[in-house]
Amino acid sequence: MKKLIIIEWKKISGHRFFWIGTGLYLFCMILLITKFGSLKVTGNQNEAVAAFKTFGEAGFYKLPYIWHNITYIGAFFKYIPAFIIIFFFASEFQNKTMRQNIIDGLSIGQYYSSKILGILFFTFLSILVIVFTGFIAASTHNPQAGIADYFKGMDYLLAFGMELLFFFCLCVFANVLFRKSAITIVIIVVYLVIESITSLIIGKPYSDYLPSRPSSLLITQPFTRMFQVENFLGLESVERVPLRFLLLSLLYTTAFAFGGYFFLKKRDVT
Amino acid sequence: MPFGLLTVEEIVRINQLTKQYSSITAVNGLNLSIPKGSVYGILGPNGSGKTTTLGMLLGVIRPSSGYFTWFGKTLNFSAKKKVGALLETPNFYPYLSGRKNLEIVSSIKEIEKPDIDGILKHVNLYQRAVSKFKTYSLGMKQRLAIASAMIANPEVMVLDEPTNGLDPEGIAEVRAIIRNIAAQGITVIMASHLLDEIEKVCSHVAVLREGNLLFDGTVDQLTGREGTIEIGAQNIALLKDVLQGHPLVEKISDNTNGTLTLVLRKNTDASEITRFLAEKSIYVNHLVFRKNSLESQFLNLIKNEA
Ligand SMILES: Nc1ncnc2c1ncn2[C@@H]1O[C@H](COP(=O)(O)OP(=O)(O)OP(=O)(O)O)[C@@H](O)[C@H]1O
Ligand SMILES: [Mg+2]
Repeated sequence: MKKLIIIEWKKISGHRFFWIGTGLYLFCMILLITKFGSLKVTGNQNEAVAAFKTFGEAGFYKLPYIWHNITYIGAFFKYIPAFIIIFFFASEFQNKTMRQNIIDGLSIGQYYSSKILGILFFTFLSILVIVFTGFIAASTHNPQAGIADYFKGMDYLLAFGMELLFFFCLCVFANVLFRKSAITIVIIVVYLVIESITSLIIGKPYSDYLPSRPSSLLITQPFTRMFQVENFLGLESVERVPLRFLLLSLLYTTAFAFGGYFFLKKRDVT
Repeated sequence: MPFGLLTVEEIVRINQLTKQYSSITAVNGLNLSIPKGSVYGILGPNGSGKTTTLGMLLGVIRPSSGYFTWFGKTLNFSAKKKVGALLETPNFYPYLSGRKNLEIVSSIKEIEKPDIDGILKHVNLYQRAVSKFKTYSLGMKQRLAIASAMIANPEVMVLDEPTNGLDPEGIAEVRAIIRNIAAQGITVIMASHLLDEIEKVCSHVAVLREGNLLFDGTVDQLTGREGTIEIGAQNIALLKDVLQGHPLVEKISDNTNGTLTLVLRKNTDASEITRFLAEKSIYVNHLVFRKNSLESQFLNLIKNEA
């Protein structure tokens, strides 16, 4: 395990793109989260909302809703680490370094594990940055909050991690099948489009069971609720991450992770 | 098996190894035994299954059937640790330096204190150790691959066309490194389609064509397997008559210039033939002896089995 982490780290940390890409990802995520509060609220129809000029005023950083709000924003950027993951994984097929790794002594299982460790790294890094940013934002906007208040609504961090993990595993799975990074990306985009068309056709509740749907249903769009009158009056209870979708996402994530391993092992290492 | 003596340790045993691609049988029921300390050449024209064979031995191509052992066991980590290998092309991370690449290999092979500098000096790459792999010339890439195969002080080195694409100087340099490795008692398994390379470097050879094993044994056995004599005398008809049925003569054929070509049995001395003819009062007026070069042997093999 430690060996695999060291090997993977040597591989990715030696490339400038890892640092630039990861830096860009974290910078964008932190920037948008910290600046989102000062964005102007536009195009609202109801009177209650009109009183608020910015999202910050509308309670974007209010505990416990902040975790829901910022994970929703943060998850938009998952395409950047996904791209980094595909870039490095595909280049190992292209340069035949995966084959050399196997020849030198790794088993296919160990090699694949090192890639999964890379995914986990990006997932935990993302959660960490969200927690850190959220904590600072929350403490400046909720000066009177006690420690316990911070932990409420933190199930969204779990949902955030799950959403990322699912998407990364989907990418790795597609990458095992299609090898080249460009083809993999195109296939994923096409697949997501086809999936959303299918989901429109078959409708709810069946559409909820398509592979990528549960993970996208974990963190719902928070703005509608943000501007509901009940919200301002403090009548609405804190929304919870739907457990059913959490488990379904976990199931699909595991399926893609093991599916990737299955196909990698089944084929010749070329 | 000519060298299958009990005293000779076996590094690799290959038993009925077969690789079937959808339409092509790349390797067909291969049986081989690679003795310790040999420099074992796998010789064959393009597409004969050399890389496929080595790929299976190295655990990256899944055999369709058959099996092989390394040091008497199936391929596992401890076997991989004892084997340094490069397959087809040098495969490294292009964006990392030669040294960083060797560090990764050392981590994979779990080498406590790899002598990376020493090995880089050995293959004459020390000056370029910090340059990125993608900036290396082909010869440097090949030498880094050999360095990487040597990093764990292996007992066996597997090299697939190690001089492919190099200039004469590069070829000489790589061959010198290989001979040097072999001199240390390291077993070398090497694929090549270059006959003179096998002849110059190897002690043993297996000849493949279209996935089939045509010959395996020592290089001497292959080159000394048979010789040919071009022979002439006053009375060709009588000469032919007398030689027909001689136990050392395998085959007689007429040449257009009024001489005969004899194919002699293994390790026959031409003087035995001339002495025999003299006893029969036939005096030879034309005699050219040719010990078969590996090249003509190789071409013969490939023709004969076609
Ligand atoms: N992945 C593959 N799919 C289908 N056929 C393949 C594959 N890899 C190799 N082959 C075929 O198997 C045969 C043996 O190929 P191999 O690469 O082992 O030959 P080789 O002896 O190494 O040739 P060369 O001297 O050109 O390197 C060839 O006919 C080749 O076309
Ligand atoms: Mg080859």
